[in-house]
Amino acid sequence: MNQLMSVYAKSISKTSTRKPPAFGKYLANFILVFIAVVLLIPALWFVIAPSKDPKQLIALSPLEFGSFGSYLTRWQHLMNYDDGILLRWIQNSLWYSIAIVCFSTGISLLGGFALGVKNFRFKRQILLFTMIAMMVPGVALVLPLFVLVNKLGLTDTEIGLILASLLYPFGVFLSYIHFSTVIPKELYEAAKIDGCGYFKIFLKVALPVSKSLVGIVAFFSFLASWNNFFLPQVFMLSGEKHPLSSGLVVLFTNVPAFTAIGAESLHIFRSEIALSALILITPIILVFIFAQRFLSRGMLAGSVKS
Amino acid sequence: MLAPYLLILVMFAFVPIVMAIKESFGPTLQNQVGGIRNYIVVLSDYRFASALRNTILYLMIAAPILTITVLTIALLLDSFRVKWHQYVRLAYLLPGCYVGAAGVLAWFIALEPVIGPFRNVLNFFGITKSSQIFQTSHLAFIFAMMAVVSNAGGWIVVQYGGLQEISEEVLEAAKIDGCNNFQLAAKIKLPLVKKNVVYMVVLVIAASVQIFAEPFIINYQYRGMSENWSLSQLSYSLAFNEGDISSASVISFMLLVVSFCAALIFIFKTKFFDGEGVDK
Repeated sequence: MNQLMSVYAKSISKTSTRKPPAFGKYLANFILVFIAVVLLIPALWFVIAPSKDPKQLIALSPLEFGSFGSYLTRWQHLMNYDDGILLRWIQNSLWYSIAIVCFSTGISLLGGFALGVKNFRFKRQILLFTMIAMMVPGVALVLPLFVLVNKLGLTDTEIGLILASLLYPFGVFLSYIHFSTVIPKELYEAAKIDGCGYFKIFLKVALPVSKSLVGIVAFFSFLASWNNFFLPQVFMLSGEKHPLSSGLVVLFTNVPAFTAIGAESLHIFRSEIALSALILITPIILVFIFAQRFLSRGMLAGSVKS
Repeated sequence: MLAPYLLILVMFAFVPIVMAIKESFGPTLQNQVGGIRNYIVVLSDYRFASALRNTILYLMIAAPILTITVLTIALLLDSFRVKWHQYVRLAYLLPGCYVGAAGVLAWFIALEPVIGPFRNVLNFFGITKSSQIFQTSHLAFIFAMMAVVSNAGGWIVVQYGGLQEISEEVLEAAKIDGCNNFQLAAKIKLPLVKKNVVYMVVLVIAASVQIFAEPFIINYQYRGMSENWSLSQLSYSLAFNEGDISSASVISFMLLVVSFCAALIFIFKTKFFDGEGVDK
């Protein structure tokens, strides 16, 4: 009956000469593009701003380009700040993020696979807690985590920060949905009959057909770890252990260059701050461009079902 | 295989929460004996009342604007499907990628009338000094705007994904019955994706009550403008400026309860847990 209806509907929609809602369509597209442009402009500003010195920043129009040499000058000025601690922050960020992404993605994929494929007691309870943990924002856990890490004597250590960043329930849930619904059960059954253990099924059967899942899980893990500034801000007492995210907050708070005159002796003004923010954003944008083929396909399409 | 995840879940979610609850009853400077009186002391702190007011005001502005913006854009994208819209959707996602310090700075600069990218527009409306924008009474609106622009994109993709799952047959049937695009959106599409919308609203509320980054960073750009502006910020100052972990834990625990309840209400009210989300 339903099929008949749809065939009927299709034939109707083909034969009827409805006028396309031209005006509405143009208006809608205009609004959609306008909002996209407005959202992209601030990012573009950060790309262009370091090409200008503080005077040009005011004199030239906001999106006008200054000179390439200016980037180098801004960089040298930033290097004057605290003996080039910025380089240290970049290194820290890279290695914290790589460690967090590798571990949290691995743990999430394994956990999600176990929840999706195996049957065991308390599975529903574990899923319930995963969902709750997924919905509680990270900020809420910062102080409790500090209390714990402090008791363990791990404040101001890299290992404390990395361990506390590994909780990634969203990744587990996404993997669970993927392994339990997207991959056909027969595939697992066949592998089991062939004598594969669960770990081997995971490695040899499930993982090779789940590249886009791995991409999405790793992408969000990277985004969270690279951007997170609250946790390192609280955990890391010594300046040279900060990642870039919280290091820049230290820089912004020591040099309120956007509102005040900036730091005269260090030559850190708004162009320099813009460059530092650009350095923070660039890896995210690169990873984003790389990951967009996973994202534009139904991201979360499986996780939030209507 | 589950062991590493369970270990992390217990070690870095359950244990810290239990420890923070215990900590919240510990002795403080104002209340040497600790116990439930800690809660009364914190609740009657004048800074708590104003932080609570700010947080609620922010929530009341940010949540509806975000919800309406996301649904409007997702419905527009769905109603007029064109191939190049995939690039538009990516453009919406981008601001969600630089949250935290860079995000606050990006939207701070967007409102800057002297050097910011939108200065011509701002000047046109007679705004030439940043002091015209950055005033204490405007902060809730400013932070709400920041939240909307940086979070809308991700949610648009989620909601758009949900809309795409509505079967063509239902839509065709409605069109035959004479629905125009607007009626189709309001009467057919929205009720069908209700669960996704509720999911978004719950998560937005849970995240909004925790607002921290925006007031924290703005406070350093304009010294003292948004000091202890939000509840999370007050908790942070109590813990790390005043060394009063117990009082900070009181606030932290109360905020956690709010997020926790929001999650539970959503999971059980929408039958998310027993629905297609989890197979039994």
